Amino acid sequence: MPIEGRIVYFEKPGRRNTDDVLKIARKRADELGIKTAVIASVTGYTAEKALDIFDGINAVIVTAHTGFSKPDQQSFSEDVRRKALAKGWKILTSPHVFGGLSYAMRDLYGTATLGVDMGNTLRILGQGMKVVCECPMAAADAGLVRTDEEIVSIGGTDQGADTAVVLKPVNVRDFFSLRVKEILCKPRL
Amino acid sequence: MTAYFNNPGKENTAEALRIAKERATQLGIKKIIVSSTTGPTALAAMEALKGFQVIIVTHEAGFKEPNTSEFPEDIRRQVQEKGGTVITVTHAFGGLSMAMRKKFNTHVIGDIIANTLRIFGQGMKVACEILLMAADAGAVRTDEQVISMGGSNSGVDTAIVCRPVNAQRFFELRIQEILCKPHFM
Repeated sequence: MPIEGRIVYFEKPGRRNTDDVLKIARKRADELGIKTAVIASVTGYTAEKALDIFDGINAVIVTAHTGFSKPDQQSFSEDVRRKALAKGWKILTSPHVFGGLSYAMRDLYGTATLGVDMGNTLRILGQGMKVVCECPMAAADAGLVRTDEEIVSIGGTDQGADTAVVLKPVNVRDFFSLRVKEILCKPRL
Repeated sequence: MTAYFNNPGKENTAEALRIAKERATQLGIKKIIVSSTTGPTALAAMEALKGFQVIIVTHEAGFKEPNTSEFPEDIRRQVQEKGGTVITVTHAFGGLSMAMRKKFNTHVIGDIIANTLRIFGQGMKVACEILLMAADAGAVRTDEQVISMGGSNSGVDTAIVCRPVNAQRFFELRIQEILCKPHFM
């Protein structure tokens, strides 16, 4: 017999869905006995909302890389950083897995190479889906999540969260072995 | 609800078709695209999806051996007699990418897209690929909502709701709903 799952479809992408995403992901994490969450947060908006909802969970907050918007600039809130660290959570700021050198090629030569192609492929399920696949790999490569245990991964479109999945992380070099087990919510697009 | 099958594979075909029919009815969707390599899935779809416009997308001719179609002619006729459409065209992700892989042992865009989609299962890759093939063959419009169903080797285990796009506009595709897929226990 198949497992009955539930996907919540949001009418539109974006930050308005953040509270719902976090609650949906926490509920499923508890049902499955998942102890780890990877949460994408650029400014700290999502991370701050997660502080209460994900109490008792080992969370890894993945920020945008420094210099993403402007050279040397990091937009993650220092206040939220302190609060998250005080809870024992980890905050990861590292190169973007799909971006990185692929964005360098795109920006200099106007050409799409591997990471851009992969990112755009995942975007057919929404920008948030690209993010929820990308961040756990960065966390695995940083040694902050294991590759043999399920996690919930939360991401969004520009700001806030609108997508959550259950998956077992892989290292970047094993990307093609990644399997998304459950989709908990996403925009209907 | 979404159904997560314990394992990929053809044993999920009947349930996947039932789920697709139910959701198509709820959403008023008229066309359902189904992959079928050797025919049994096509016949099962014609039976399970009576009242819908069923578009069967087969492997391209020559996929296994030159000048050979894996889809039996008698089943093609049966599908057509029951009002279904059978499409046999170049694979959207395979095509020239497979030529590059075979000749130069290198992976280019189609392989990268296909392997990226496989993180949701082989059936997801197929469901997306046959959408493009059906649109390029003119069997579906790009402004109508459809259900597309793909599988892993045989049968179907994945179903999605979306509006088709032509292959040249692949990156504009947006999957609206996932109705079923394997869970990868």
